[in-house]
Amino acid sequence: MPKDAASSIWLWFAFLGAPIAWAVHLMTIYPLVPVACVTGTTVWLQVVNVLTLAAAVLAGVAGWCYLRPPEDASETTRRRVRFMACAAIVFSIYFSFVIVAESLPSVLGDPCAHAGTGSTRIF
Amino acid sequence: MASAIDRLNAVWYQPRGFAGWLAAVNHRAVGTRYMVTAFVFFLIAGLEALVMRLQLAAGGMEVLGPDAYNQFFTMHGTTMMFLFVVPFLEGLGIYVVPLMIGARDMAFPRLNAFGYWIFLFSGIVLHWSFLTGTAPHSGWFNYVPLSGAGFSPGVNIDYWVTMVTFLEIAALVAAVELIVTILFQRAPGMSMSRVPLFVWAELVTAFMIIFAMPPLVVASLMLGLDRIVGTHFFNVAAGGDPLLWQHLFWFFGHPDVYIMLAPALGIVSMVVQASARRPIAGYILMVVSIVAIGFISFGLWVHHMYATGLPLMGMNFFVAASMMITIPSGVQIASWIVTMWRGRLVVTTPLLFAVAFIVLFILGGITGIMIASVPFDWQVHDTFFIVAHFHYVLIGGVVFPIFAGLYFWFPKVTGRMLNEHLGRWNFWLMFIGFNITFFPMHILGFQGMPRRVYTYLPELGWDPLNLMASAGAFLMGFGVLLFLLNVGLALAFGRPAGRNPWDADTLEWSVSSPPPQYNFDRIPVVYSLNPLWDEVDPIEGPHEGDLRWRERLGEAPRGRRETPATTVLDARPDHQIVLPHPSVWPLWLALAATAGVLGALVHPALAATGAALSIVALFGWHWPRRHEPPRGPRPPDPIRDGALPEAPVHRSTVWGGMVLLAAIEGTALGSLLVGYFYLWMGTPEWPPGGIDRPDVLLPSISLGLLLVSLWPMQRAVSGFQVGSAAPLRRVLPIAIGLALGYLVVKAMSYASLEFDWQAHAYGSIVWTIGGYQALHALAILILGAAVWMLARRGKLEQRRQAVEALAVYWYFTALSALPEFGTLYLAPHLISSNGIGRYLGLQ
Repeated sequence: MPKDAASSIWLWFAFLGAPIAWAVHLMTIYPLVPVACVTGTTVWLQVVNVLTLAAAVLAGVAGWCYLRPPEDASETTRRRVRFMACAAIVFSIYFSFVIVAESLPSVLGDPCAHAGTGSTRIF
Repeated sequence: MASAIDRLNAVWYQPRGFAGWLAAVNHRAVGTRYMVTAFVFFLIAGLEALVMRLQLAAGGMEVLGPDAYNQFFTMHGTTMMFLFVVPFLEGLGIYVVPLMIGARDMAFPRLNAFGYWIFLFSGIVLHWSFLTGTAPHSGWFNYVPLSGAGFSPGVNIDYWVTMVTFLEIAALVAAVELIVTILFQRAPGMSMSRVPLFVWAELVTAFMIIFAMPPLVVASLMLGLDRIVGTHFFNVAAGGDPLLWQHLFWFFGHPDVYIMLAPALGIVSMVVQASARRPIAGYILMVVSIVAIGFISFGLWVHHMYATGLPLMGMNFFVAASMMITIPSGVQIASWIVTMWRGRLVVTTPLLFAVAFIVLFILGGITGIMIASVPFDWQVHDTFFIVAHFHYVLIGGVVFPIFAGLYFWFPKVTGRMLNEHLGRWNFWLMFIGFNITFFPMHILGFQGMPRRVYTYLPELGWDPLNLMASAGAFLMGFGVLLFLLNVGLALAFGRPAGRNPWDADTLEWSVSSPPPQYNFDRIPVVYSLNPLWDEVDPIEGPHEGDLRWRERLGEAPRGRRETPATTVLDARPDHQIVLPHPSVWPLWLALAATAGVLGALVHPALAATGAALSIVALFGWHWPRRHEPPRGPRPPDPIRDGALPEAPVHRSTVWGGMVLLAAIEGTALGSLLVGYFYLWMGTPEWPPGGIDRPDVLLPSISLGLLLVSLWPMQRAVSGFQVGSAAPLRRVLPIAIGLALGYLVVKAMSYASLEFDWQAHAYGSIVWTIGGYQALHALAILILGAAVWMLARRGKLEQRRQAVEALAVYWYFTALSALPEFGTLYLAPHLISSNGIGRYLGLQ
């Protein structure tokens, strides 16, 4: 447990890491679809999938480490740190699940498919 | 000797008479005005809906012609979304949140009042267009090219573009207020794990507004520029792209659904908790759910665009996100059911509306999952099925909770109880009327009835269900009338409410109904999530620790409006904030700004006059005033021991407000830069028309000047923070000179361009981004000069926070020039047809 753990950057990473990882995931894979179409490979999509999933899981692990808050802190602080840690774990589970769900099209789908509408739009 | 309460009343006075009414800045006055005004707009939009239902009651009706019908459905949607739901829920937050967190007022009361006036004036102007027959008529979504100058000549769309953009200022101001107040002004002990769910909901909503509204402002700006000054953002012939509007609009539009829904979730949680007489089940899961909904709502916007021909893989990402948002919504529903199941339920009108919300929201949610699927959406796209779905979400999911909230907090606002019998009639008429109106629309949608049509042929067989829907709408309208009757009777003859008629647990119920001007004579201290159900009374105690500052604030010894600021996470006392007295300047500024914006519609001279008057009003607002002694009895000598410091130990509310302003402006810049790349992607040649790639030399020099200006700026601020204004007086002119150099070189760079904003979409976006950044530089120049003059005159000690505000804004301006430089000047060189661009399909 780092010093001044009750407000450290790791606690914030634990609390907000998973939702931010999800946001980065969606905002990155969407513009990468035309890249995958032009290059004929979805490898960059998979890289983003794995990295953001890892970040979301790691945030949950960090949250787990904070389940036992610093003992020298006040009761109010201990309760608040534990609250943030529990929330971090739930965030991690949920957003990891969302990242996996959003990754499925990039694993199973064709980045050039346009549903027979004749459209060639890339975004 | 006058009592402490007399002194507090004297310090927190409300000026009398009409002029005093106009000058009110107290959060309860502003919040009430927001709610009442928004409710009036709700009635207007409801009447519009009834007229439309008359028109559609049978095929071939002639109540409205096609153009009038277009204006009616556009104004109905615009009014409900922009002038009723969001302002009402922000108004409720402005009223309730400070009371719920134990604060005496919001962080920036005058700004709060300014936001309200902006909201009022833009609503009036928008409806003025309706009265003159020139109301917007392209739908509340205002799709281009329909809303472009080619297909919609005249001022109809100009009203929408200018007034909706202007209106967003009010929404953003309220969001900043709410965030800063919640983060910095919670009662001691109210750590983040003890924040009521309604406050969490308002906090999440406010953050969503901060990031969702700027893209709409940017989109509206682009459309306004296309219509008024001839830019080409959405003109395909000149390299523009209509789908850019849809992306920007729905990046705002879908979170906006949850901006409306999240506070409703908070209302229902408070009503269910109070009605069940037990703490909400699964508090942490509820908080996580609200925050998760806030995040995920930004990842759904493309599900409004399934029919636009986007790649299937890209759309499927949004299918997944749309499905996943049901999980946190389901968690909320489970929690309310468990809370009611395990509590001692007292069934009152607020609870009826809350339970109806759960039922209707589930139905709206189920159809939401259906249309989140691409193939199903293609079948029902633009049919009445969609109308049914979003009304189940927006009326069932938002308006019913609003009525729950009205019945729940009306006693606190007015001191009177609403009648329960009338309340139940009100509820059942609305509930039955709502379902009769909107359930048949699902079937009409399946039968193929398109939305946004003013009539249909009688032989299509849609008459019976349409007649049923129209009858239901009038039944619902009658229910709303009963509510108005109930309010009138309660104000005249209502039973006194007392402090806590619901035996609820949150702090607003610890004060009288209506509360005094200062909310709390002694600031409450919180030990749990449900302070009024605690063994320790949050006001009377017994409390732990040194709380002498609390007694001091209760005495108002210096005749100032003081409230404590606490730390963000644990709500430890940090310093005391001095809040401003009532002022009429927010009203004058709002009037001048409205005149300025109207100038875009009427005449440039009006715009110039409005701008000049706005500057005068800003001076009036900020003009240093002598210390105002309190009216009434003289205060006693200050109690020196145990007082909270005047200067912040951690961060101040001004710092928080400026960071949020930077976030808003940064999001707007991000939207512009996304627009740049989006236009690039759709163009075979970039820059177009044989234009050379941009020259890097002059932009590099200007960027360098601005970045170097950070050094003297930092010297000035750090010197001031350790107690000396001398470094600031000495080096701030250097920073100002460097920023001025940035502006001059930037102007030279733009003057050397061989194209203007009317040449093509590339010119439009380059000039717009450059202008936007130049405005920031101009702002820091003016701010910097004002701070330097205050320092020269030795007045800076009284306005310490001006330095903090300047520093935050200066850093933002300098650092935001980096992505601008990278996008406009480096990207065209780095991403070329020979480089990365080859893989992106770029030229």
